Amino acid sequence: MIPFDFAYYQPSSLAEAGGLFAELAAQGKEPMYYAGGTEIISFSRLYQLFPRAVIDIKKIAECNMLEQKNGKLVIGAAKTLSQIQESNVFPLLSWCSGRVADHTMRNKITLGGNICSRIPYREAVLALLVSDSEIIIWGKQGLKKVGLNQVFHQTLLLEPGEIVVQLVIDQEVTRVPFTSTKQTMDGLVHYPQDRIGYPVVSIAALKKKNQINFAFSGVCSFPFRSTEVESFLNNPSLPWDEKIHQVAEKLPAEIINDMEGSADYREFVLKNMLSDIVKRLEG
Amino acid sequence: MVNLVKMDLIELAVNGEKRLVMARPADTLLHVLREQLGLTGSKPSCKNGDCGACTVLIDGQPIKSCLMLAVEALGHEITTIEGLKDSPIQRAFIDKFAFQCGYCTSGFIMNCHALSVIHPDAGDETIREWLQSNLCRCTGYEEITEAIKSVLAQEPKENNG
Repeated sequence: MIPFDFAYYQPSSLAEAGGLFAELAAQGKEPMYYAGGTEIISFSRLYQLFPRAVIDIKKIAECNMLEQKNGKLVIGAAKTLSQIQESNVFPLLSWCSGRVADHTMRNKITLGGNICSRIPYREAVLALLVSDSEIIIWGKQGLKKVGLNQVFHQTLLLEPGEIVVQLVIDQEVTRVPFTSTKQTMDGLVHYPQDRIGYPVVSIAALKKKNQINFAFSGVCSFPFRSTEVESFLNNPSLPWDEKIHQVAEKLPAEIINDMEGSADYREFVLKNMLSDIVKRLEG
Repeated sequence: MVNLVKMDLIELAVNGEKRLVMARPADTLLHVLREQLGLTGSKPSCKNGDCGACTVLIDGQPIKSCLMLAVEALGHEITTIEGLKDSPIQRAFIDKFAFQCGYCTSGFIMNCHALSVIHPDAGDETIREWLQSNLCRCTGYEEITEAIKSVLAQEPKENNG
């Protein structure tokens, strides 16, 4: 039970949602956009979030699209991870989404919610980062489309009141070679049905124009795709073994060291997983 | 636009009936089902989306009712364990001894029922993926798996994916 009250609004348009946000913020209600709502409910129950108003975006048509047009795949932010996994329109995204929480939870967790989550892992975002996806955001100036890699740095950088509307993926990228793997405390996860758990290390990789794009979760306290790591790993003048051996020096932050896995163990797993990925994509 | 800014009457469609409840916007569906409607078959346990004991069906899809607001269920068909009558999966749980203490059973049954309706041709991988959504601390997983498989075996098969 959530031990405090908030107001619930379910607008049917982006303009209505944005207007509500501004109005409620001006009243000091600290509004939050709400899609699947799993994190808002669980964190509110634990007194870790205190919204005085939530604005449910699930009835906004633009946030519910899942279509392929003009060579682009468009996925609304309110689409659930189960809907995305079952549609399988982007297999790498299906793989990454299919390892978040469990099947029933994925009937509620949305793509937009996973990207904006406060939990460190956010594995669905890995597929979007390596595929150079674009994100459509609604704000005071209307809609804007930007590269996700431009606005995702540890977390999605949104201005107050902005709404994640859609993710747009080049359909060509959905057909290139990819691989993705995850290890939890209990073992290696190749398929969603293998094991549930937060990642010790989770990696998504995609080969595009003789370069491998890598994105990581569970290594640092945020999911990331790093230019420095990627340039280093794709440097043709060094052998793969040597690059993988040195990869920890290029990471954007300290390796997580907690009860799910020590920093040394995570580094060990990271290197082994990279070796496997390179074998799979480079032959 | 649906707005619920304070405690008010809302009408929910539960087990084929229209039911009026007095709900706060912050009330979870689990809380309202149990405390307002007396439908105590949906069990509170972790209240964090981990255990699946509170699983209900929303338009036929399994959902953990501890992580859904009651107001979100407006306009959707809610099915609780009380709404299942003599379903094949209920009989299979008895026949296969698929419960011990029984606390997790209603959640498992709702999830298994949805699986048998949505994926009547489910193979081992799909069954395993779906069943991971629920926890049984008596660890009766083998019998539960046998129960769902016995129901699926009665369904016509198209493929065994």
